[in-house]
Amino acid sequence: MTTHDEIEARLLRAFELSPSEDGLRRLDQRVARAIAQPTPIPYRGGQTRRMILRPLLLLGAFVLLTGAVVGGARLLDQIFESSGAPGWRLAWDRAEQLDLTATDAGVTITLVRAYADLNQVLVGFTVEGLEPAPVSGSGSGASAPIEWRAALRDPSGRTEQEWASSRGGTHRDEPGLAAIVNTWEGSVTPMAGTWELIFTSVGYNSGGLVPGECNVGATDPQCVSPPPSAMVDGTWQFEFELPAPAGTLLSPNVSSTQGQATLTLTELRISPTMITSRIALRVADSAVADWWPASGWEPWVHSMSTRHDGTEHPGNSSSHVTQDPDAQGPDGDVFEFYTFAGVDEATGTWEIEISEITYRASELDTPEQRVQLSGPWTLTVTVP
Amino acid sequence: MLRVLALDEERDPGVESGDSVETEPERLDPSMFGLLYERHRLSVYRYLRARTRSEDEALDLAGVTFERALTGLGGFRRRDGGVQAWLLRIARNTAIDAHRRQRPTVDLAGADAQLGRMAVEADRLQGERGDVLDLVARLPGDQREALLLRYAGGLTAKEIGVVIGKREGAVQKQIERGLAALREAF
Repeated sequence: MTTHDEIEARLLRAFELSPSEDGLRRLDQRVARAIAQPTPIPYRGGQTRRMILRPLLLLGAFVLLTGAVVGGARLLDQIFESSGAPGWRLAWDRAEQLDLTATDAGVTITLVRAYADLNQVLVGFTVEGLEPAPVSGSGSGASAPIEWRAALRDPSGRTEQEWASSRGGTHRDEPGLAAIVNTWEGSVTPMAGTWELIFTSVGYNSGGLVPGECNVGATDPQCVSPPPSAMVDGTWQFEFELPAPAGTLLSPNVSSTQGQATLTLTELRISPTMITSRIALRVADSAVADWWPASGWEPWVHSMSTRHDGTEHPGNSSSHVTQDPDAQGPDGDVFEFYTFAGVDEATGTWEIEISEITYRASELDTPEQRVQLSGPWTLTVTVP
Repeated sequence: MLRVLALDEERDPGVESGDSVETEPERLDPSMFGLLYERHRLSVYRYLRARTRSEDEALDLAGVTFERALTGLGGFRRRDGGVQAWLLRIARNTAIDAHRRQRPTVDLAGADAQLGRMAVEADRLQGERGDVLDLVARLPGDQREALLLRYAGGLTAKEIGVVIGKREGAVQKQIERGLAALREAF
């Protein structure tokens, strides 16, 4: 019979996980940099932003090398064949075939296809000529993720920072070859024209890690200012034509109030690959720093329904738009909700219903600050 | 400058700390943060590592946790459960936020994610450790959370109560139920 003490001992052993030396050094450096700031950097939902800016960094840790050498196009096809998002597959099927190639610093980037609708721009490209990916320090045998930096400009000259509210992507790697799909999501300019994508850096490790001890408090200049990363810098420039992005953009500003809480649908973007709704919460006599359409704070239960003429479109993800409470407008704290599939025909009645809400008044909450509210709140829009 | 904590070693999550909450300062200021970080980084990491699928993800969330903590130093009050409970509450919220706001890309990469899970599981499923983690993962949410905060985070039942918003007695019951379930499973 296992005793209570034995179980506790086994639990302690199981959780006795320590990070690798490299991993701990990275964490030390990160915190040291934060401490070294003249004034603390106001938190702006850093995790969300990191998830947006460095999606490949996280995803890359989970990629296994397949071994067999196949072409970049085949790797891209594999990504979409395995995707669980119908909208993503549709975007790839409807994307413009480009096959544009640029070579610099011994690295060749091929822009294979591109697609745009009113919710997102998607590109698929391959990278050849990089040194093999180093193994990460996690001990899992996972390869270091491929990383890249690029600027996207729409036909009206705007950079993605001006219209994209988030980024996403994934990739597959083989020795010397990587296939990458990336999306920029947000209010895409509704016009046909010439898009520009310029890569400036690509590689398997942008960490810029410094060998030796660089713990908190280290004043070695190398620790304070790590050397440049192992990324390959260069210029890989592409211009390509895309047709007018499909979709319907509405700013309905319809509201629904239950008790003290008012939800306002400020924007609804309906396109073939995705449906995006921006919804703001305002609570009378209370600040709202964060909220969620669910009973409780755990993320896996959505009390939200999006229907179009009776057809349900499940929500799949979200992004906190007004992460800085000071940036909130009169409608309150704004979240953007996404689906993984869209519709070609937007006409008809759209109804978004949220049955329960949990919100908190400050970013660093305590459990007693969380407030649960019951609705339902129903937001209805008719598209002629 | 206020004295914060005994600084000679990191707090071992598995051992009841000799420091009581009452010996900690009422308030924190930025000059203390480096010491605070060194003292608690391991327990924060272990708690997040137990909740995540990879070392990289746990380290990233740990970084966010300490960045949030640094920004929110002014919000610390000793009466809220002490420094470690305060940090683990931030860590827990950070982990929940990260899961809740995962961009579609994570789910979109169906095969990659599946392969990734397999790889991570292969890494974690090593002998007893894998068995224990697997069993803990199957416990009801309240019991699992209480055990993670207790044995990975090193909190007392009272501190766990502050983190998850339950009374100390209720937390103790969840821990006991979780341990009983594990005893049955073993």
